[in-house]
Amino acid sequence: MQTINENKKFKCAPDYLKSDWALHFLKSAVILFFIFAVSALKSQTIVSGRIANNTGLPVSSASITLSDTLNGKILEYAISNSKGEYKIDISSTLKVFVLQVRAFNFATETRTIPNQSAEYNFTLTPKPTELPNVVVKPNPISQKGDTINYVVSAFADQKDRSIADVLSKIPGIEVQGDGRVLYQGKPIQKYYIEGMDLLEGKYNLANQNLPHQSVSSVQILENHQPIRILDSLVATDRASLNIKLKNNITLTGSGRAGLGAAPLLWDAGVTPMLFKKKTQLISSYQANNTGNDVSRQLKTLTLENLMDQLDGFGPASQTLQLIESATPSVSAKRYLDNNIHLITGNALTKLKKDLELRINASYLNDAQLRQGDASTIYYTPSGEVALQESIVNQYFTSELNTQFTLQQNTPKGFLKNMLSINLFDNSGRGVVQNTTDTILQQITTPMRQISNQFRWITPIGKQLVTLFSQVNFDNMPHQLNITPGPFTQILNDGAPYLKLQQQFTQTHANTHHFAELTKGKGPWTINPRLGLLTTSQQTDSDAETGKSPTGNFATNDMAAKYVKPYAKATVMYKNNQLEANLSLPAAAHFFTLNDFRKDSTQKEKFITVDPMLFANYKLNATWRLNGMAAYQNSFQNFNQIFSGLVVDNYRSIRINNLPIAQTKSLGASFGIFFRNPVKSVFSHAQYQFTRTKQPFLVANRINTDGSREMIVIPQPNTNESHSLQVRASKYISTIKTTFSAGADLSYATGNQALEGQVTQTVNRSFKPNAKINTRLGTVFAFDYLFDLTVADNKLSGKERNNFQFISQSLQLHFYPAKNHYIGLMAEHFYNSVQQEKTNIIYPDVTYRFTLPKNRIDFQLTLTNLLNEQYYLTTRFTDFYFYQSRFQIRPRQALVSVKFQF
Amino acid sequence: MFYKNLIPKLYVKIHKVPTFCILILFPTTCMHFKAFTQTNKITKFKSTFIATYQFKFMPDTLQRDKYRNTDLLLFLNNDESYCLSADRYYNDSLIIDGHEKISNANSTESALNMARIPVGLRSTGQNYLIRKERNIKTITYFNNIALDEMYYQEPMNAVKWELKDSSIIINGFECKVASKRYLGRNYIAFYAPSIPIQDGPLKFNGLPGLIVKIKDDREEVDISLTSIKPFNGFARFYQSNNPIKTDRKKLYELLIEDFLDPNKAIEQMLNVRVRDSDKAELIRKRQEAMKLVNNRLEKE
Repeated sequence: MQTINENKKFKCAPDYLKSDWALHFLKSAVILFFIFAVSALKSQTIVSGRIANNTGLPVSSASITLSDTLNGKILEYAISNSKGEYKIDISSTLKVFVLQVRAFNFATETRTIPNQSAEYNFTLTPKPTELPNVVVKPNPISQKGDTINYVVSAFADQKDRSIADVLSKIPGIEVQGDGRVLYQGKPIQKYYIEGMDLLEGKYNLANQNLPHQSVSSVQILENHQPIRILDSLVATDRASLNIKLKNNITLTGSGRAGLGAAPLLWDAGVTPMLFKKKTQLISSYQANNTGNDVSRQLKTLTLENLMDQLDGFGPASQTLQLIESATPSVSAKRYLDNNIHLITGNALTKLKKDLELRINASYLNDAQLRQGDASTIYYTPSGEVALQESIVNQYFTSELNTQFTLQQNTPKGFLKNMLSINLFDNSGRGVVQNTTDTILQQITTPMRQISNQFRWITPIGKQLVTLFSQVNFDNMPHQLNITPGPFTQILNDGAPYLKLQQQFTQTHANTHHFAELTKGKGPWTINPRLGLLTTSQQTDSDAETGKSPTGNFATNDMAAKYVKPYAKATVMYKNNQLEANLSLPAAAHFFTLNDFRKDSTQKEKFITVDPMLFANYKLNATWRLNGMAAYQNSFQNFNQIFSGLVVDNYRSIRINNLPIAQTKSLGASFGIFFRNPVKSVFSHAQYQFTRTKQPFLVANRINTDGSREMIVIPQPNTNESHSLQVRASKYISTIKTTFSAGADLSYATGNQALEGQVTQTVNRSFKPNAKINTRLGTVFAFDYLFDLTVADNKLSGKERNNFQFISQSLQLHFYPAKNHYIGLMAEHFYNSVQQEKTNIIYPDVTYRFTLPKNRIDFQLTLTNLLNEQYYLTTRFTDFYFYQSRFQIRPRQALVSVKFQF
Repeated sequence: MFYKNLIPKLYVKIHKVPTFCILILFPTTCMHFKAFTQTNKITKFKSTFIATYQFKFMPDTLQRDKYRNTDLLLFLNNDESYCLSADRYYNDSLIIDGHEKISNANSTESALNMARIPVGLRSTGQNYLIRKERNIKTITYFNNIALDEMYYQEPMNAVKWELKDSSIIINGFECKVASKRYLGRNYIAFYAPSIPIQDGPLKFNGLPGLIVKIKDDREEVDISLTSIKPFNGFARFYQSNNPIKTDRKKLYELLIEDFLDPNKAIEQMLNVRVRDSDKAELIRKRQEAMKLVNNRLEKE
């Protein structure tokens, strides 16, 4: 071919080339070209042939593929023409190939051939091609940008009722015991239903009661900025969850009614929900005495709300307490002896101009009984003090929470005002029987709180301005009564007295205001902020023995003030791959502590700079790295300082005469995250380090009369902790199974004051866990969970305590016939502390019959079949060893009707 | 024939509630209810199996989370295939069934049957029929504009596929990967060598195995196999006896023109005259609708 072309060229050669020399040159060129062309042809291997059937007729449309013998990779292919002919040019340098001929309704022919031009003819034998008669199910996990979609029906199983039941089986998502939802190990930031945030952090109410049949898919919104105007300006690595419903207008919900024995058990509840385009409503009434702590549905689970508490806006820790047995570290439904009523109403409606009005109100009434025996050994410098107690306590909860929120969240501006009013009227009473006495203890812990939070973000020119204001007032007049009067030596000159009335009242007023500018330019955003945080606190206490005035050593009258003006600059950088965030706050801290009893005033001031650097780097679509480093100053013990004696329980009397402590801490973390929704694999590993420096050590001193004093040892000290968390989960669609496994590793060193000496303590723990959720076929499914905790504690290099805890749970689900379900569950707990070893197994059985038309379930549940009576808890801290035997719920049967609408 | 019985009803409706009615009848281009006349025929295709695909397409590139979903049917035998939307197949079946009833029944019944047919018709923007004749390596693309069926032909697989190294399991099929640039888009195709039919959805074909999934690199097109089943019998399509030959670009222009001003088609098909004010309103609505369709499957 090439030569002919060349000859043509030669014939067409212009006249000036027709000299002898030129002719000669061209001739040699032609010869040279010919040689090259032939050698080129030699390196070009051509495989060709004809394909026919067994009667010799040509087979057209056959696939002829040439693949690598090693990895099966197809290198070249051809399709036979109507004459059955094919031709493949091979450019590969491999020595051998696999030649395969496939045609419809013929048997596949395979031959191994060398890399040489040759003709291979095939005669195919007819054989029906087995057509894969399949209906493909879409992958239940898909990803688009930062949104991951999970199709709920793929993970739901016949026994599942609420969306929470399904969420726990989705790879990448974890649901903790209290209902908190984690994505890749981190709590979700928002729980939306159709993009609307009806319940904020109290999403467990919807999660536990929304039937999964109403939900079409669950979406994870990665790097989600809930404030829309900040969307491209302020980067976040937090994920939110969105529930996509099947219908635009959904009236749904669930209800139940049950009766059981013994003792007489009852369970009732109805949770109607309405979701429309502009309105959402969830209301609920739930009541039971079966140990189901429905108040968990009202618990705030998002970090955002916890952050507010860090700023001092959360409820202060309670000083006065009843002595009680430690509650077991098993699910509350095993031991909780309750009588709970919960009413809640939540409504969200979109008004004009994207304004949303939300009202959340709830009332909780609960009476709990807790019984147990406890033995405590205190290690004191003067020897061991041993205590034996048998405790019966009753707790009464009466809490009203209301919240009114007005919000406007558009790409043009953000406005949110949230007013909350909380009224708590909680109390408790109990009897403690110790080796010598019978003590009645009674406590009232009311709280009234009102707070308002306002945030406004608006564009002014090219930047955004944020104004923030939070104001909080609370009042907590607590009282503890103890009969007979304790601490006779200290409080009553050694004379017995009838009753001690310990009053302890705290009133707080907190404010936080700031103004912030947000200016973005290209990938950069800067955020300067000026703010003022103030706290004022009033502490009054009095221990009344009923006789003459006790004297002012047992009273407190203090006023504390804390003012923190601060300036903070945050610089953020964001491009497609990298998000980084550097923040540099500088603050002045002014403390004024007036002790009117001692007529003294303590004033302190500090200046701190707390830099923080955070970065998130996307390596590619599946891998992500993040890291954080921060230096922080904090001031502890501020609202726990009192110089007069306070009896905080019947055997503890204390003085917290502490200086204001500046704690400096350095923290760093590094995480590596992998997720591939296409392959349904999610995994991450995270390492965290913190180092905390304190100017002094706080130690408890147990006096010979049993009273306890917080004392200060002026010894600067450093605590360090390292922790590593690893998690991986994978969903395998062919066997409908989610496998999850992980481990937590921690190593912490601290300091402890013992007999005036400072010694180093080391705490180590290793917690591997594994989980399998599977739906093998339509008849059988099982879930298995394994948790192991191995921990030990060393003091001055000598091991003092070690501790092993195993928790296993196996659930077997049988569906013997349509609409029948049998569930066999067993929980096993193994507890080993020092030489103490305990094993407890709780088997449960559930039978359920479903009327599918009306979505009604009839259910019989038998729990604690072995009728275990107690749960043994062992604990140790630096200065005591504690063991309690807690009375748990006996064997019981409950018949209930559940319905969904 | 049968459409004439409809005319009085539609005529009244058009004049009473004009835009509403027209939009219901012509929600997107080319509602397929041409009359049975001598010019029409039923194409019967002996198919041995049927593959269904879900065809996701982003009509508006400014709204990147919105997709139009279409179910595609691919009827196959050893030599040829026909690909069309499930909606078009459904409409064709209704019309063909009606036609058969008319030819088998007495006149009163046939009138009733005729009147019923269009009620169930599905509106569809996907009215094409793509025939691939593998032995003569030709693709024929048919589409309807008003009463006319137009078509163009192009050679099969003019642009070669580039085979890739990877192999992936999609929905239980072991798939090999290939890519090519075709009419302005970079496609990546996943094909199953275990199904030795060199075909695929729409015009895609020419790989040594059935295409299980094909998508483009902008995430604007995604076609995935949803089922594959034996099909013993004839697939029937309602076509013209005398389709008009044109070319790809011209046919596209005509389709757009027809979408933007369907008045001509309405008048021609229903033998009515649309009021001028209604015409203008329809054109305005269509222009608005067009703003939401700024993307084309075939970009060149």
